Amino acid sequence: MKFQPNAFNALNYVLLLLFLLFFLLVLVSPAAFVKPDGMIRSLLSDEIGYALALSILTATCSTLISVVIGLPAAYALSRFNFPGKKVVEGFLDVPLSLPPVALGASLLIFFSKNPLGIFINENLVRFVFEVPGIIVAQFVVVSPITMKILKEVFDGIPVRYEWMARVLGYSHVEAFLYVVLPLAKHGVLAATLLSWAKALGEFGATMMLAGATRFKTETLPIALYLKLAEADLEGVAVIIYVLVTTACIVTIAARKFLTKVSMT
Amino acid sequence: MIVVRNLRTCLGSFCLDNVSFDVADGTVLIVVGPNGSGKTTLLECISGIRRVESGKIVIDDIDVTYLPPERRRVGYVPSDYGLFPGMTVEKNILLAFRKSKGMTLEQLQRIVHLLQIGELMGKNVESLSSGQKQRVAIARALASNPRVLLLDEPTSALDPATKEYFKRSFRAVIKDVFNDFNVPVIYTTHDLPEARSVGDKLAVINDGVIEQVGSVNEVFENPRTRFIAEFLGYNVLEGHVIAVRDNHLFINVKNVTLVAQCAGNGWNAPKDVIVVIKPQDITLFSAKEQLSSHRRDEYTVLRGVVRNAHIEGSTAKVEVVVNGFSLKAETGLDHWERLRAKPGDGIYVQIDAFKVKVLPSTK
Repeated sequence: MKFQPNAFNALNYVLLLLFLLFFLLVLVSPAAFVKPDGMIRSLLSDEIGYALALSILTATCSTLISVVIGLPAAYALSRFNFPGKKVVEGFLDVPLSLPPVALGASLLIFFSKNPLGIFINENLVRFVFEVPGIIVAQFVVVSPITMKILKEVFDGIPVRYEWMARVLGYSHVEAFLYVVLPLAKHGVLAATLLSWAKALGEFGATMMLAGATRFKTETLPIALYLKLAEADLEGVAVIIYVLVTTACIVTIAARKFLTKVSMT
Repeated sequence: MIVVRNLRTCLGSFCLDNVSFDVADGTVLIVVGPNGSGKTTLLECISGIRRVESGKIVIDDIDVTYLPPERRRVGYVPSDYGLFPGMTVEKNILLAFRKSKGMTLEQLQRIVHLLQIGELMGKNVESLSSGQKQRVAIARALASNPRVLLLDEPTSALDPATKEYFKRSFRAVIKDVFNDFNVPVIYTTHDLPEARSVGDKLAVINDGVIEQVGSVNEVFENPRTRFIAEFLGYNVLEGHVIAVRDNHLFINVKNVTLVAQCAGNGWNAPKDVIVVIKPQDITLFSAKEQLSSHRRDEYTVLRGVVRNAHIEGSTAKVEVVVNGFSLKAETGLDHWERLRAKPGDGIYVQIDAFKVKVLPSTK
């Protein structure tokens, strides 16, 4: 629909413009505290380098776990009808609306007060105030999002393609691997990228379970928090721009993949 | 060979019930019926997509009734062709070939050659026309080396031009493919001329029940029920037998007497009957003198009025109103033009007694 010059449409466009300007202003304002040489110095500093590497590592791990678990779970939710399916779907929505800090606090209570959690934490993997805790915290926040996107992807693939593969001689598992997954590949890539970006920026749950220990559990958002606490605005600005750049790249790539999903 | 016995499956309130037929290798069974009559459900039962409640499906002496689809070796082409999107034609066909048992690369090349899809192999399936999709889907089904081939309305998605191409030349190609692979073929369609030219056997399905199955000629010449006669587009009239004489029945249809041939004078069926006359068996004349010189009880002559007429190819389809009821007639275009009749004109119709079929009334 073309733009029609009338008061209603003009109001809509002005509000949209104000909204964009506000966001631009917010994102540009930290630049006031950055000088080019200072920015490079901060970017190459050990602390930000560590935070960046840890963020990439933990976000990649938690995203891979989310996708590996999310693929079969989302497929089951998309394809099968079972008693209580609506309850399960509703349960998956809860972490989406729950503050991550509450999820992190729940995880902390589980691993420090629940007998099973204590057993896991003391005998298998240490999560509380340790790097694996970051991965678990990111996984808990990210996996419902991964699962929801993947379910949408599977919902968009008609079940008749699986039946056609079965008729051609493929077992149910083979039909999933050779026909459904190739058809879902763009959607799976988009889900992976969006989940990774979400994990990269996760703060609340990580802070609660893994804490904010410099050079130990210091992811980019935790580093940002610590820099802000010591009023290092240049460091804060650098981290903000690293996160914003990553988010922009990932979002553009994910949109490209999602466009391909809608085309197939 | 495929043998289907007393097949039953239900989907909500609709049931496919007591379906039985067999199709020998190299034979094409055409299943015709209106929308929602159970044609697709039948094919889905045979392919294993739909669970069967009771009955038996035997393919090459193996009872496959409760086997999963992947163990049946059935080639299935659904009405939307079911090609995997986002993949090339080659990938679609190789997916089937990879699971074929005993098919050689030469045989696969023969399929590609017969169906004229060699040039399409590198193309994405979304970029194909509906006619190309149809050929690729048949090739993919054959590439799985099936023991039976199922085609669900393969021409329904074709645009008029491709359908016309199919009618003119590709039908022969399809026949060649069927002969070459010598497997039983079950083929559903709405198109009666297509059924006649492609099929060896014909089954007419209505509301989940097969009303008649037999050779194509047998079903077209001797429809066994009122539904089949109506579905085939024949004239179906309710009448009452008023006399039986010299191997002929005299039937009153809305105060007009029609003569039909019968075997012997012992007409034991009920007096209330259904009269079936094919439109092609009605001869039109403009004047009484021109009528045939047969004996009077070997044909019926009626006077009617042309209600409407339209031309389809080299045939004129004419509706004639006789004493308050309509008769559909078909005649050659040359003959129709010689008659010079137009809607509202009087016309004579002649119906030979041996061409009138009489069925017991279902009332």
